[in-house]
Parts: sequence; structure tokens; C-alpha cells
Amino acid sequence: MKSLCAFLCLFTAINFDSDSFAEQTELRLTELEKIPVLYNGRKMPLDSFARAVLLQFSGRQKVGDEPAVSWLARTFFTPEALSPDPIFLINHPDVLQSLGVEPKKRRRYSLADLHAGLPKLSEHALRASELKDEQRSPVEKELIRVYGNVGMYLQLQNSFSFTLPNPNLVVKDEELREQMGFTDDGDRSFVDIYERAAALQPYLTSAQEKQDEGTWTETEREAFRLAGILFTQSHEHRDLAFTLIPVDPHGEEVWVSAWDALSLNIPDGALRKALLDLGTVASGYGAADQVEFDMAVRSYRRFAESRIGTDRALRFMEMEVRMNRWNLFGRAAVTYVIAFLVAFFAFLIPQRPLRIAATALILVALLLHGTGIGMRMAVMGRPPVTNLYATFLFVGFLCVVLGLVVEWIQRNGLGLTASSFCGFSLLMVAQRFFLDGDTMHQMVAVLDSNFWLSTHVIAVTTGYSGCFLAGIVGHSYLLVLAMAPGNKERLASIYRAMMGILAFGLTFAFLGTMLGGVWADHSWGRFWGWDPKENGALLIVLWCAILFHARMGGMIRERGMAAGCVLGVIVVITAWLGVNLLSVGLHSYGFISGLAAGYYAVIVFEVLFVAVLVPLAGRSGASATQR
Amino acid sequence: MTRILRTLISLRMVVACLAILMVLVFWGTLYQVRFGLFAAQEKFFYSWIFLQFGWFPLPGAQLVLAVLFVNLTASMLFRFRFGMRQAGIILIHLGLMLLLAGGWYTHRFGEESYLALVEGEGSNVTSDYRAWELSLSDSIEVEREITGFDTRGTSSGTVFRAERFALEIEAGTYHSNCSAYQGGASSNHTVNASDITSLKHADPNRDPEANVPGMICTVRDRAGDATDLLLFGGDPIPTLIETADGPVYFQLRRKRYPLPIFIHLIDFERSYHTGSSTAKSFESKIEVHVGEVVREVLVEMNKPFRFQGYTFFQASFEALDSGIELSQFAVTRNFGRLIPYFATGFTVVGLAVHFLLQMAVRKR
Repeated sequence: MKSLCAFLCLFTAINFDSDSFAEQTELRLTELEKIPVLYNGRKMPLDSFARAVLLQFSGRQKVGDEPAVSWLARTFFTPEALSPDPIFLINHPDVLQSLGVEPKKRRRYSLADLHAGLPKLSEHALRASELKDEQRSPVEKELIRVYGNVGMYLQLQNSFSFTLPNPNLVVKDEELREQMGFTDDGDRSFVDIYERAAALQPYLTSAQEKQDEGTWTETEREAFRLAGILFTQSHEHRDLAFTLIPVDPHGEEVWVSAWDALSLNIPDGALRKALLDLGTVASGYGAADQVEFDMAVRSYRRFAESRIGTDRALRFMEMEVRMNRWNLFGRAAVTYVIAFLVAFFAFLIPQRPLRIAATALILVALLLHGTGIGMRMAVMGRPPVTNLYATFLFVGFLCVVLGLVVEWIQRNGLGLTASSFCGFSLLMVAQRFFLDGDTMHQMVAVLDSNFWLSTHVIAVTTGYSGCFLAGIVGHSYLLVLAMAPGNKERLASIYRAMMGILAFGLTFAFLGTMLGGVWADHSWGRFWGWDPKENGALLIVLWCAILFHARMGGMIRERGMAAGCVLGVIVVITAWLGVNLLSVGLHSYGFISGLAAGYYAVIVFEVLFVAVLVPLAGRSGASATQR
Repeated sequence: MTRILRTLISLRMVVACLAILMVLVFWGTLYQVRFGLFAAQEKFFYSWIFLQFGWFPLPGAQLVLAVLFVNLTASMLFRFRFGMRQAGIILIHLGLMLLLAGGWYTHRFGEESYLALVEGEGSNVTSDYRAWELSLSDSIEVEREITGFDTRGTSSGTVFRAERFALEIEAGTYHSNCSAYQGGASSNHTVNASDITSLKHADPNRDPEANVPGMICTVRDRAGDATDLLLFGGDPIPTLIETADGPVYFQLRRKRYPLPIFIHLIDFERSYHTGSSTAKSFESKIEVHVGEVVREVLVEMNKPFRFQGYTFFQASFEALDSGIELSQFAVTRNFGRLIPYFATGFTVVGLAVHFLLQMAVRKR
């Protein structure tokens, strides 16, 4: 048994020691990943931006084995016109058919794969975007999504193109070259010419004074050509999505792309130096010069940090990078799975060492899980639950804590099994939301209240936890009753745990629902408005009340109570997720797509479970009583 | 104990009521997707009985909640044994009784209206979201006395008597939702300030706030002279009729409620999170005139302004073409707003006491 524990501890240790791709490449990007950028209204490190964008494109955080930030650096500094990176996730086969692209098994396509279909993609997506949302079929929605992603990718490729040598920007005229301080006629970057644009001015002025273009000198023609390219390119690259430069042209904080910063033409020495630093970052990357690269990145970061000043987001940038790198929730989920297997055996074959091993593993997972939640709270400066994704993290955490409390009281493996199951299953569901991109986005004005997020939301999610865990324990009760009906003591202890947890769940579900009413009274002027989310929470309270009253009145017995708790899982997920799928009501901040299948699958599973297990458990229980 | 009373306080009755309520809540929630919140509220939640398929009667939430209230009261009187061991149960049920009573009081006596002000504008009346009124006044000055008639339930033949103006107004046709047309000769020689000559009936909107009513009526004065009048809710100009007792202006407008204060909107501001279209804050700086006393107040999301039972919430805004902004406040008047707070307190404490007592008893 000791060797089993040693193996489990070793597994957990290995789980932590995953190497990063960045260390295998020639250039370390640890400085680059901390650069602050603004995306969807949130200041975040470049690492988070890279992950969010890659998740948005491909539903993954890596391209093959390459981390997101490394992929993004390649995209920025060595862009390929027909990149072979398979990053565009296309789910719908009809989209591929309409673009004339051969389907692939992994459903991820590169720009090179899509190249021939891009004109059609543009045409179809623009037409689809003219339709109202309710008129769009899944194919149209997918076309718009893919078009948006390809467009964003092309913008990312161009974000640093001002620093890259451009064959059109060769200064052929010797006199002009001399005036601009170039020693050879090699390819120049936009920023090279832009920096020396003052040297073009005398030639442009003299050319303008001449009436006839035919009388222009070769140098004047060259100056005019270069100025034209500067003008065209700065217009072509306006409003790029990648905004990393904080400026305050009118005393108001605005973040712009590097191209837009160049166009701003602000007489700002620090900004000019920052742009040159970005040029050095690109050249350092191209030459794989770690020292030059790191120094330029640091110099740029100092500029950005001086602009952001006292913003709290800046203080937690490094923590966010660490949080991303550690992948605490992923590791917690894996540890919960191992703990569940051990705890399940401990539940079937009560052995103290197995219980100790399972407890240790759950505590390790809980520590990772809790640390992850804590780090998110620190980074966001918010209570633990701010969106649907965070509810899964938090409810999972609470279920594990509640399960451990049950285990502490009963010491029979039930709490361990239930808590580890809830831990990994809810973290898995959270993973589905995580794939949508940034999970720490800004709060809309009406929800922007840390007080209510700390009271109503915490209370109602605690209620979800209790009722969900009671449902999981209900499954155990029915399974044990069906398979080992003679084990009365175990059944009684499971039943006690189930009732206790359900009571806990009801108390907090009621409190959360009513606090929601109080918040609504403060925000919208009415305590109760029969909004779908309010109704969902009320359904949980009503269901729990029905179960307790039916039990008290002798309308159901232990088996019925357990079946009720199992069906309560359906009520909980309906309140939690189902009403969001309706897409109506004032709580329209939490709408999600693509979860309907999972939601219906849970309903079907629970109904089948009850339909099969309740009669089975009834027969087994009856025969055990006769014996 | 009579059989009826036993049935009334039975747990079977409770379970049945809770189960029906659960079905209504679920059904009503799904119903909102297709028919909107208002229709769901009217059909399932604010009704005593509703007809499914047009003929099959089913209990509405009001009936179920009333039965539950009676059940709770009867149980409190005849079933619960008062003592420490039942303290939790009694507190829970007292809280629930209070919650149901508070809900009924708010539904019955609470007022909901709105106040829309353009920057620089002020008002001492709010408007109803759905109810309309026929208003009569003898001038169109800003400060004027108005006689108003609620038009809910108006149909052909409904008569409004305005004694102040010695007028009798008889509705010819009334549309709760319609569109208006100008131009051409009026088929029934009606008078209208905006030259609206006809009304076309429209089906009620899913959102009743979007309904715009219209009516054609006959106005008779003291001398017996009759004038046919066409009024449309979307017409901003009152129609003037010269009566035997002088000029009277008629208008169909959203029902107004007087406020005990005058509110003047100084400025509306909205801000977004940097670099995004996610709203960060909406706030209105208002001037509140209470008699001669004037003070400035900032109304923000989650920070309403309260005054003598009235509450003003920042509800929405509109950027007008002129560059100035319009701020809309939801205004509620509800003297029972604190009842659910107490009810929640009682019930939660009761739940905690009950379950902790149960655990303590089990341990012993």
C-alpha cells in the first residue's frame, strides 16, 4: 500500500514537471510574454493574449507542441504569406464544401489550406453578416466566425510589419540614400524610412513647386515614391486588433496598435524610442539574438509600465503569466481523476491506507484548485465568481470541500468519492468554457458590484454545490441499494450525508435566490420579475422543498429521496445552464452556445439512471428485507 | 378538526402546490422565449386561473400561492407545536408567509413608471410603461392643470365626463395598438392637430410597451355641439377644440403620475472599459427640487436615488441626433419593499436553526 502511495505522489510530481516548449526553442520568450497588451477591454500579459487568440481560432492553447506565445511571436516577427500552421477550427462540413476545401480529420486548417477558398469565404461571410442573427443558420454563423478569425490572423501578421524589411522600400537613388544616412541599397523597413522621412521633405517640396511632372529629377521621383508608400501603408494598417501601446493624446487612456502609434505623429520622445525598441525586438528575434531581444523587450516594457502607472492590472501581470504557465486547474483535474479511482476502491474495499492516499490526493488537488481560484481573484480584483466559467471552478471547489467535510464526519470513503468526482467533472465542464478564450473579461456596468458578487453570487453557487453534491450522493445511495442492499449501515450513513448536504444546499439556494431579489431591487427597482435566471433558482428551492415535505409526509421513503436528489441534478443544471440557453431575460450576460448537447445528455442520463436504478434498487431492497 | 381543515394543512397539499408552482415556473420560463416576459407574467404568474387551448382551465400562480398562504396560516394555527424544537420550522414558515404577503402587497399596490429627461430638461411627473390616458387641458403652457382619464378597458361607447370643462367624450373606436395615416380626406370628418386622417388597427406587440393606441371619439359640450376627434398616441401635438366654455386641448399620452419633487437632469455620462464596447458605468447628475430646497444627486447603476417611498434607477439612455443625451430612470413606488428583506432573514435563520437542531438531536 505504501508503494501505491509513493506511486501516486510520484505521478503528481511528474504532473507538475511538464517542460515548456519555450525552453526547447532557440529563443526564450519569458520577457516577451509579460508585455502588457489591451484585449477586449482588459489589460493582460502578451502570454494571455496569445492563448486567448489561439483558443478563439483553434480551441487549443498550443500549435502542435508549440506554446501560444511562441506561435504568436513567429506570426509577428516572421510572418508567412501561406502559413502552414493548422490553427483555424472549422466544425461544419458545409462550410468546407462551400469553400471548396478538402475536409481534414482534426478539423483544423492552415492559411495555406484555406488560401484558394478565401475569396469565397469573404463573399459568403459578408452576405451572411447582412442577415439578422436569428436568420443565420449554423453554417452562416460558422462562416462569419471563420472569416473573423482569418481576418484577425492577417492583422496579427501585419502588427509588426513596420519593422520588417520590405522589398518595395529600397532606396535606389544614391543622393537620397546619402541624405537618409543609408550606406547600401538593401531592403528597408517602414520604420527605417519613417524615421528618416524628414530627408524626403526638401525633394517633395521642390517637386510640388514644379508644374510638370516630366521635369522632376530622379531623386524627387524616388522621394515621391517612398512618401507614397509610407502614406499607403500607414492607411492600410489602421485600427489593427493588436493594441499594445498606451497613449493619452487627450488626457484619456487609449491603447493603439504600433502602426497607429506611428500615424499619431505625437512629438513624444519616449513613444518614438518605444517604437524603435519594438523594431529591435523584431530584429533580435530574426537574428535569434537573445541578449538584444531581451534588452529591447525590457526597454519597451519599462515604457509601457511607465504609461500604465499605478494600474492594479500591472501589478498582477507576472502572476497571470505564472498562472497560465502552471495550468493549475488542468493539473487539479488530473489529480482529482486519480483521487477518484483510489477513493472509489476505498469506498468498495474499506482500507485505511487507500483512504489516506485518496485524501492526500484530493487535498493536493484542492490546493491547486484553490490556488488557481485565488490567483484569478487577485488578477481580476474580484470575488471568485464573475462569469459562468468561474461558477464551475467555484462550485467544483465547494463540492470538494463539502465532500471532505462529509468524509471527516463519516470516514467511509463516500465523501472522498463524491468530492473527487465533482472536482474533476466540474473542472472538465469549465474547460469547455475556457475554450471560448479569455475567461477574465470585464464586467458589464450592471454586474459591476463586488458587494453583490460576493454575497448573492457566492450564496447561490453554494446552493448549487450543495444540491449538486446531494445528487451525486443520491447516485451512490441507489447504486449501493441495488448492489449491496444488505449493507444497512452504509446505506444509512449515505442517506444521512445526502439529507445533510441537501439541507445545506436548500438553505444557500434560498438565501442566494432572495439576495438576488435584493440586488434586483437595488438595480432594477423590483424584487422579483419572473426572469428566467430568477425562475431557475426558484426551481431549485421548490424542488428541495418538495422533497423535504414529501419525505416528512411519508409520500416518499429513502429510495424516493435518493431518486429525488438525482433528479435534482437536472434541476440544478437547468437553473445553472439551461435557462442561459433560452437567450432571453435580463440576465443575458451569461449566454453560451454549444452546451445544449451536454445539457440534454445529462438530462437523458439522469432520467435513465433513475428509471433503471429505482426499480432495481427496489427489488434488491425488498429481497434483502425478506432475507 | 374538520376534514377540510385537515386537507388544507396536510403535507400532501403543500407538495401538490409546490409541484404545480414548479410546473408553472418552468412552463412560464419557456413561454417567455416565444411570447415575451409580459405575456408569461400575465398568463402564468399574475393569473388565478388561465385557459389552455382556450377552454381547459388550469390554476395560475396567484391561486397556488394563495392556497399556500392559507395552508401556511392554518398550519401555523393548528399544526405547529410552539416550542424550542420547532423554533426553526416556525421561523421558516413565518418568513415564507411574510414573503407571500409582501409579494401580494407589492403586486397590488406598487407603482412602476419611468422618467425620461433630455439633458437640461426637468419634470415632476413620470409616465406609465403600458397604460395610456386621455388628457384634457385649457392651455399648452409648461405649467398647466390637466384632467386625465385612464383608457384601459375603453371600447366603442365608453363615455368620459370632464366636469371641469363641462364636456362629454364618447369613444367611437379605440385601438390598443394601431398606426396612423396623414393626408387624403378624412372619411368621418374628424379633427386632428397633425392632420392624421385615419387609423389602422394593428395586432398587440409582444412587448406591450411598444403598443401605440388610437381612438376616434365624439366631444359634446354644454351647448350640445359635437365634434369628432381623432387621437393617436404617437402624435406629440395636442388637438384643440373650441368648446362653449373655451378652448380645450386633447391628447392621448402615456398615463402620468405626479411626483412630490421636481427633477432636473444636469448631465448624463457613460463610460466604457478602455478599448472595448463593454459598458463600465452609466450615471446621471440630477438636481432635486424639494420645494425651495435644491440639491445635486448622482444616480448610477446599482446606486438609485430614494425619496419618500419613490426610487429612481438609472435604466437606459439614448444619444440624440443633436449630440445631447436622454437619460431614462425607472421609477418605483413601493412601501412594502422592505418586507422581502425581513422575510428572507426569518426564513434563512429558520432554515439554519432547524437543520442545526436536527443535527444536534441526531448526534445525541
